[in-house]
This record gives sequence, C-alpha cells and structure tokens, in this order.
Amino acid sequence: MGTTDAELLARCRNGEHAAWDMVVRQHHQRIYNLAYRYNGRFDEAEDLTQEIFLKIYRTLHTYNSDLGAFETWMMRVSRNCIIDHYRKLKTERRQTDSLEGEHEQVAEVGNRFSNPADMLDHRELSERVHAALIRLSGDLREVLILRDLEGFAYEEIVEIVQVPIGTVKSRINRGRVELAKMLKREF
Amino acid sequence: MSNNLKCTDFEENLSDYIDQSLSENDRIALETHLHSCPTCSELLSGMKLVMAVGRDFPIHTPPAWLATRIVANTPPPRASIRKRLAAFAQSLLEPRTALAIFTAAIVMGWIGGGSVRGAVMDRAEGVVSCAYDHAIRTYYRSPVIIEIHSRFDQLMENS
Repeated sequence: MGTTDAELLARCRNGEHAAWDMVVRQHHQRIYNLAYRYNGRFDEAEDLTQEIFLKIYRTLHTYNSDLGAFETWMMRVSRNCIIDHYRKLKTERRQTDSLEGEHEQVAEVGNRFSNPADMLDHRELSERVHAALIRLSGDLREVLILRDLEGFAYEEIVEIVQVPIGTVKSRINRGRVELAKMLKREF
Repeated sequence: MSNNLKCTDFEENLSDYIDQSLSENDRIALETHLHSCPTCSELLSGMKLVMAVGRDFPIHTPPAWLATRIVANTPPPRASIRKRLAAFAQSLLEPRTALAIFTAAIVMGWIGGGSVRGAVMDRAEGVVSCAYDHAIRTYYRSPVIIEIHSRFDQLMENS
C-alpha cells in the first residue's frame, strides 16, 4: 500500500466521496472474485461485494496502517462479512439449496465427457475444482481460497482468519487432500 | 518420521512436501512411501493439479455498474458534533444569516416590542405586589403581632 493509497483512505475518512469512489473502483474486482469463489454465484457475489464495501466504509476508522496492509485488513473484513452472510443463510436453510444447485449445474457439464483427458481443458477443470471447493467445509474452503486462489502468505492468512499458523497450515493441507480426493472420485 | 510411513502420515505432510519445507529425513521417508504406494502417488498428482488450477483460477470481471451502485448506496458520513457546531457557527457568520437575524429583530421590535416589554413588566409588578400583600397580611394576622399590638394599645390608654 503506497502513500497515495494512505492519502486516499485519509480523504475517505474525511468524508470525501470522490476518494471513496476511487477505493471502490480499485478493489471491487478482487472482492467480487473472492465472494464468487466462496459461493459460486455471480448474483450473490454482486450483493455480497456491495455489503462488504459498506462494511469497510463503516469500519474504515478502525483500520490502523501500523498493524498491517490495507489489503489484508480489507480481506479480513470481507471474510468476516462473507461468513456472517452465510451463517444467516444457513439458519434460513437456503445455503445448501443454492450451492447444491450450482454444483449440480457444474457437475452436469463435466459428466458429458467420458474420458478425463478430453475434459481437462482449463475452464472445465476450473469449474470442477470450484464446485468441489464449494462443497468443502467453510474452515477448509476459506484458507484454500486465500492461499491457493488469492495467493496470500501463511502469515497474512493468520492475520485474516485469526487462527494460529499451525492451524492454518493443517487446514490448507486437509483442504487440498479432500479436494484432490473429491476430484479423483469424479474422474 | 519413521520409514514405515502410513498413508495418513503421508497425507498430513503432503503440503509441506510440495512446499519443500520438510527435513531431509522426512522427505526421504515420504518419497520411500510414495514409490511403494500408488494411492498416495495419485493423491500427490491430484494435489499438484488442484494447486495449479488454483493459481490460474479465472478472474471474473464484475459488471460495469457494480462500482457505481456501491458508491451510490454508500451513506454520506455523519459529521462529528464538533464539526456540526462549527458548521452552525459558520452559518451564523454568513452575511445572509446575519442580515436575516437583524431584520427579524427589527421587525419584532417594531411590531410588538413596546407591548411585549410592557406586558412583561406589568406581569412582574403584579407578582411582586401580590407577594408584598401576602407578607403584610401574614404579619398582621400572626398571634404574636396581634398580642404585641393589643398590649401596646392598652399601655397607651392607661397612660
């Protein structure tokens, strides 16, 4: 995070709308993709992205640049927001339906191919991995998204998820193993 | 790590093996197991594939209207009390506001200044005189004062 971004945040805190507009435009693609990776639905990702940014705006005064990069803080806020969102959905018993629906849709595409070698074009494989990822438990899914899809370092994941590094590493390993086994069963 | 590694031990250390963060002995133990276990060998390939796919995961472009919608739905910030007071004071100092206050004062004084002031003074005088009357009545009706007065009258008659 450069000086320009720090200044931008200071201007946001002073209520400058143009500065907030710039922050949103700079980061919304990343947040949108993060939300999509968690749930596999574009419409939900759009709503979640907005929800996340409103939360970021409301809590902007709590960000302290001495304690870490803005992006890491932003991802932590996003992750908490996503978890809260799905916790609410879970209590309403809607989450399972939507995720299963999405998964079935992706699985159907995969089943058209009899030979895995034919199927493994990149897009197809990504969809399969994503569908399997969504079926992982929340704890494993989030660290895998942060590590393997978003490319965060272990230390940054510790900061975002707020669990010890040993737990992060163990969850990442378990997540990868489960994912590999799921894909193997499908092929 | 022993050389008679189980598949579960292998699984637990798979990420560290891929990250090359195992000690030399542990790495050798894992590789020994790997050569003798096709299931774990397949698992390793699967995990490497998962990681490779993750690295090249497609990045989706959000709809063009999304950023605009987010900014439009962001509520304006609530100013602190200090800032609001400063804004109020600032507004008072504006020529328009000062002129309006000045005009209002003149108009009020012209329309009802005299009568208002008179009414207030009348009311104040009424309250004071009422209290004075009450005090006098209380004084003259008190038994001690009445006794003093009667004694004083008797003394005057005798003299």
